[in-house]
Amino acid sequence: MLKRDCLLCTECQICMAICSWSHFGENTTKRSRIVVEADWPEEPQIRVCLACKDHECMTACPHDALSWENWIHLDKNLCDGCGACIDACPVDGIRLDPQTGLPLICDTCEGDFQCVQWCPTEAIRKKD
Amino acid sequence: MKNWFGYAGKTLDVDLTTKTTVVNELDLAFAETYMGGKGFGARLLFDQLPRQCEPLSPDNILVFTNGPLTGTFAPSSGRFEVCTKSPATGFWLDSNCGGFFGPELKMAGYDAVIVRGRSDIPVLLVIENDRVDLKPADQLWGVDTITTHRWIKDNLGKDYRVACIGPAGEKMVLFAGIISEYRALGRGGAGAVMGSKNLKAIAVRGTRSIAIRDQQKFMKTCREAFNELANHPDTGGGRQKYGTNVILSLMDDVGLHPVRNFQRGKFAEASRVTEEAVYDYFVRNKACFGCPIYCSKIAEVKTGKYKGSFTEGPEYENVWAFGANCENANLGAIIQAEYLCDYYGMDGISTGGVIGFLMECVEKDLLTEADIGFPLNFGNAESIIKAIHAIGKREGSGELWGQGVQRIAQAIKGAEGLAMHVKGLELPAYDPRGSTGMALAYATSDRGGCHLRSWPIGEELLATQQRMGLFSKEFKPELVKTQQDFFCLINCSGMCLFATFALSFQQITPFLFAATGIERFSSAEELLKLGERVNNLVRLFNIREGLTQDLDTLPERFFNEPLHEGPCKDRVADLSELKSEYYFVRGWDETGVPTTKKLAELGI
Repeated sequence: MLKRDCLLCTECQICMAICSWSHFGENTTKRSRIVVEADWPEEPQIRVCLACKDHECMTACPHDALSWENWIHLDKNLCDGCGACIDACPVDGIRLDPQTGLPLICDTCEGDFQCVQWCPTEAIRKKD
Repeated sequence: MKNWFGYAGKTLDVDLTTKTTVVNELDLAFAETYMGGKGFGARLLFDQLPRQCEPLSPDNILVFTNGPLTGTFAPSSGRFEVCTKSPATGFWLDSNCGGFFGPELKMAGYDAVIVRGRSDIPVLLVIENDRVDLKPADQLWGVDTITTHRWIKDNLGKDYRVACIGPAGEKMVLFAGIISEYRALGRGGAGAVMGSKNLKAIAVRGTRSIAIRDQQKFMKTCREAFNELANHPDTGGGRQKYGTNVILSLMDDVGLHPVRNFQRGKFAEASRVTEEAVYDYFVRNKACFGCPIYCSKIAEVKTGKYKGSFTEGPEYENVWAFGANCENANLGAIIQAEYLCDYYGMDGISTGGVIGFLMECVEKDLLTEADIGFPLNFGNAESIIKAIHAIGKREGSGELWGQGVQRIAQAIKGAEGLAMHVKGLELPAYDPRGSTGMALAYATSDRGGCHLRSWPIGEELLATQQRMGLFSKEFKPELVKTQQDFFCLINCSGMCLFATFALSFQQITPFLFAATGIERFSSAEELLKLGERVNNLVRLFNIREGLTQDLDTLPERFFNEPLHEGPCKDRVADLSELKSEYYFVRGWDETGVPTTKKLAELGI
């Protein structure tokens, strides 16, 4: 999974762009599973699934649409986009896809970690 | 409806007088011929702006434009442009800015926003995808740019991106800028034009994607370009560490670091304002959209009189404008000065230019402390801050000062020779006496005293052969022309000029072709011609607005007063051969007017 060093983050959003690109083949930052929140001039916050041990999102889901195997998996057939997982997430790491209305949760690009590969400052890294 | 690639495919036309908005489809032939950014603005203003229109009247048009690369994954592609007729020069103005506004506008579905007329009350233009609203903005009128950003994010939504004016724009300081996400469309007074229209801010939010024509080719080009940028000593080294200040001590070493309003070229206290000294104030790095160079910095003053001051920057030009130019080595004051320029929403270079000019007027006894109301002498850091407040609020003497050095000099007897401007735009931080390239660049820049239409000093300083060096006249007209056309193309594309320090033209071309699929963008030669086409159209615009070749010149000081010290000692500027050669190379006649042959060749 991922770990963050927000002080190194430059807010360039390359992670967000490559995330949307890798998952949907679309050039946008709006369908990203990782989000950089900026509150100028304060240091930015990188919001992404950090794979908590307790999986609060899974427990909160009223439709059992979330499961864990190396990362959080979403069953699109069970999810109705209610957003209970978003409210339950302790690290504010989940967002709704503006196109599908379904939650976007980091899947580490199935182990490929595109954001880690492209981040110019190592603000986002693989957790050992 | 055409499927667009690279482009959003739509433009938004807003008439503030009638409070109506219209969405238009982008025209393919228009995009192929003028690309975007500066090119869109040039064609639009040339066709639609009434001749001799008063820049601060409702007749003027303010165009915000993206390029086809804006908001794409291509590195450093967060740039957008604003084009209008400048109230400072009365000629063409385009101002380029990074940050996040341009990409957000593209993701909301627009390549350009065209603003016309004048609203009867202060308004806020809110764009969310297809939804466009004009909202009353009385509560924001008089409010600084930083609070305006915060208000919009708190009240409309934190993911809105903003371009707004501050009190300086509202009061039509002629060098007021537009502040966007704490960066600036600074030069030439676009903020005053926005103020004259009673438009306080544009807030935009979008959720769309930008279609890319050849995804595989585009990503391959991205990979190569990101590598190139990371490995280059500037974009992957000096600029990442020091930001734009990377050249600070070099400019002083070569003796072209203007001091005391361009009276000297070396700063006695240069060791206190080096890039290392500025670096000590940085707390973190910051980047524009999609940029791995992160030349922006957040700086904070931790001790001394200006403790608590902070800014995004300070940039090289401002470190000079409020530093060496005012003979001030107090970096705390420089950081506070840059913050205040952003706060009021005005251009740092012109503000520093005005203050340096006033300081010289005091030195030469053309102005007294009684005229001003406080001591305003070279080296006086606190007086810089006081003067900025006066200009930003347009209070007292600030009323006149907000008109820029050209107009102030007309009001002070004997001060004309001290006004360091070209065509009414204050000069930036390179002394043209020791650089034949910069002398020609300033004289022929389409928006007046500017270092970003071409920057030949970069080539001159790196030259290994003397005939391309600082003092040589050989090849300089060709260099300036080619750079102007190339920089113009980059300002049409949505990419940042800084990326081109590492990327060659041959590396940039595949981005434009792969993103848009437009055949004419597949050849570097065609693209350079596009830049040349836009520059010639802008020249025609300027000539129509009254430009004559005698205005393609420099302040008298540079011809008459040699530099005193350093490697450029005893140098004066000499444009005589350079200018006529430049006109020749451009295919213009001896009075600087594009020939019909040249216009036909460019398809204008």
